[in-house]
Amino acid sequence: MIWLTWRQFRTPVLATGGLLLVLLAGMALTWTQVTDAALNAGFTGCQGADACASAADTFLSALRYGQAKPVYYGGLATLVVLPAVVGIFWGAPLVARELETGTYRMVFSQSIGRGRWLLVKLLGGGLAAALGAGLVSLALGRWAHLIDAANGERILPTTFPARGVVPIGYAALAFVLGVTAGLLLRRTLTAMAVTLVVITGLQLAAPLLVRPLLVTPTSTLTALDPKARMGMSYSMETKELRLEPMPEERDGWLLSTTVVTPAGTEFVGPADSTKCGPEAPNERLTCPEWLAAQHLSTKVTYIPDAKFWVLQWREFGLLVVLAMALSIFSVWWIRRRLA
Amino acid sequence: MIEFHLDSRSGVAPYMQLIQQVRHALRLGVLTEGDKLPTVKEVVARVAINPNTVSKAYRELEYEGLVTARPGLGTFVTRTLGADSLSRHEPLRRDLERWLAEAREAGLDDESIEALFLSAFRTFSEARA
Amino acid sequence: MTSALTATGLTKKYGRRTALADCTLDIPAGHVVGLVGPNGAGKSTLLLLACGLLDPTAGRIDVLGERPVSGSPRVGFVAQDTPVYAGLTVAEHLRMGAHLNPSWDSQLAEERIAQVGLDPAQKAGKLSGGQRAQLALTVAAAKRPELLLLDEPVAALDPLARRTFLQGLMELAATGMSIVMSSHLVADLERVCDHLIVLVASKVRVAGDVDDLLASHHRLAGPRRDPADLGAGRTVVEESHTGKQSTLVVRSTAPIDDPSWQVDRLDLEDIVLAYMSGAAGSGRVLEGQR
Repeated sequence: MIWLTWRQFRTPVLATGGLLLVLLAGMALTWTQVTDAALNAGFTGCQGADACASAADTFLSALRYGQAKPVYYGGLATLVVLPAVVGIFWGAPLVARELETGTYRMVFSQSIGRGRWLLVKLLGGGLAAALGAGLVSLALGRWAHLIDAANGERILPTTFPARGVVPIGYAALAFVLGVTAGLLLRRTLTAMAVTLVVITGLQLAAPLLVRPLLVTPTSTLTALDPKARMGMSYSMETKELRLEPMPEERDGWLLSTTVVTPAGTEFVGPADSTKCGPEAPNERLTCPEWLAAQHLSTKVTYIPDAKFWVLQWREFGLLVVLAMALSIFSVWWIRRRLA
Repeated sequence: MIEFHLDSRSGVAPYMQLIQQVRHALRLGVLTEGDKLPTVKEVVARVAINPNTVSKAYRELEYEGLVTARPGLGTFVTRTLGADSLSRHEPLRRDLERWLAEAREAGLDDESIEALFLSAFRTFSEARA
Repeated sequence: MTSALTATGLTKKYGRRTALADCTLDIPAGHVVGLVGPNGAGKSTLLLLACGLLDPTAGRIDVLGERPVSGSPRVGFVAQDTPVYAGLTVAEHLRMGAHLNPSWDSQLAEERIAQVGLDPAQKAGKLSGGQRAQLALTVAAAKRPELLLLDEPVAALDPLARRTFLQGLMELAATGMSIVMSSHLVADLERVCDHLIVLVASKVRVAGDVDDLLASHHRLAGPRRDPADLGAGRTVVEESHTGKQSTLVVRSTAPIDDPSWQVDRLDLEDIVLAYMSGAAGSGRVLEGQR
């Protein structure tokens, strides 16, 4: 069974593996470029926050014109696209093609149970997907660790799914998703399309909905400076006043910046229309004064970079649990419900 | 050794066709005492026929005493058919030819002659049975 | 007589469509059994149920005395249109068989491949229909099942390929394998099957040994009359009448001695067709007899 799994898998696996190898080769070729640039910029071994910040800027701008930049973004893109590739080209055809071409009738009349057949294929494909994703993520993490330290972006939604252990989870889940879609829909093309939609949905939903629930975001309160630049929107009818302060830099992933009252609730007015708003005669002067009297604060909610690994492992765990649940479901389905 | 063939449009059961072919060969002297019949496997491989059918035909022939099966060796012819009656064929054939000439003179065409012969033959056989 | 397959009230529905309704039959072991009937009679469904690729909606089916499960080493199956893996070579199919079947007979497999002249290095997707059928048969046979089920194995083959295929099948039958094959073509069954079951609309119309069926069916032609007058022990399978003449297909164990009938033999195809059209036409239902 292991032989058959390999024999049927080898073409897509080798094709995917080839693409990953190109990326790995790109990293190997630019490895010294990155470390040299960090060294020359004084970022390696820098002391003190300010010195490091300026060394980081020098380091990052030095990389802007080398070959390291396409490798950096190529790696990012690869790990973001890999789950979809694995789901569509490895997972979706796995059962659907057997059902479509009728070969399931041949292989299921060999002396092997349907459940075991699927289990071996799920394990083989899932492990291969996990291994490939893990290897690339590991290499990319090592290759880019200086860049990540310099730009502090590894916790951002754009970089997060291409670092650490999460890519392993996505690749494995995407594979199982593809298999399950093929099993239920029985058509390769339909299964591929549905797999693509679901995986993309998952990748979008993770940062928007799931990740802020996996760790408690950190919040900071600072007194609002009424004279600072900020966006204001005022409603004539309800006298509702909304303030949008400029986002503040934080070492992490900024979720929201809101203005809150001393009671801790979001500030929405109502504003004194004689001081603020278009009806106030001297708004430029009176409005900041009035706002200062409200004792407002800016509340910044973010996930700090320090929680990177906690978040990685929690999201990974969630993905693995999902993948296992789907696997169990599809094995049950092929044994009981395929008929 | 004889070769079997099957006529699937005859309505005669395949095992019966095999028996008839052996009898025919015995009657014509193609097979004689001591000759070996092809094995079931050989017949199966040659004519794409059900092996049970071949076995059944051989069993029937054995029951009639025409052949005997020697385990491990094969099936052998034990006696010939109609060696004594072979000499009677010629006069009978002459009688039949005379009858055919009469029928033709009476104005019967080939088909009518055949139908007449078959119906008479069938009535005769059924009466005997 | 032991049974290769028994079904009682067997029913399979796909959603609201019924593929097999209340089917009851008993297929003896140790035979080459032909399962014939028109398209849509439920033959494929019955065979898929028998090898555990489908589960019945209602009723019961036993194969070699057990409930069928796919993956049983005791039952081999050659599916309709003889599916093979287009991307795998002939040799790789055998390798797959060897990996997936503990009882794999690699000598039988290789001999058969050589005998039918298949190139082991050939991709299965490039094989002709006949070669593909031979490959599928080899894979099914080399696991040495006690019972081999074939679903319309020769339907798509040209006459020569059909003959070669059946020849190979008969050589397997000679090794003692029980065989059940479905077909809607009757022409070849007479020589290869020794037992026949005619299935029309999920019902067994007639079942029996081929020799008995041939011996007991007659076509009667004679002056017009009511077929009910035929007497005991005779069943009318099919009848057609003109103003003056009646033509009947009759099942009778005793010889027909009424001289006013012209009695003719029927070949197996005629008998099967009589049961199929008789079922559609007169509505006279015959119980399956053994």
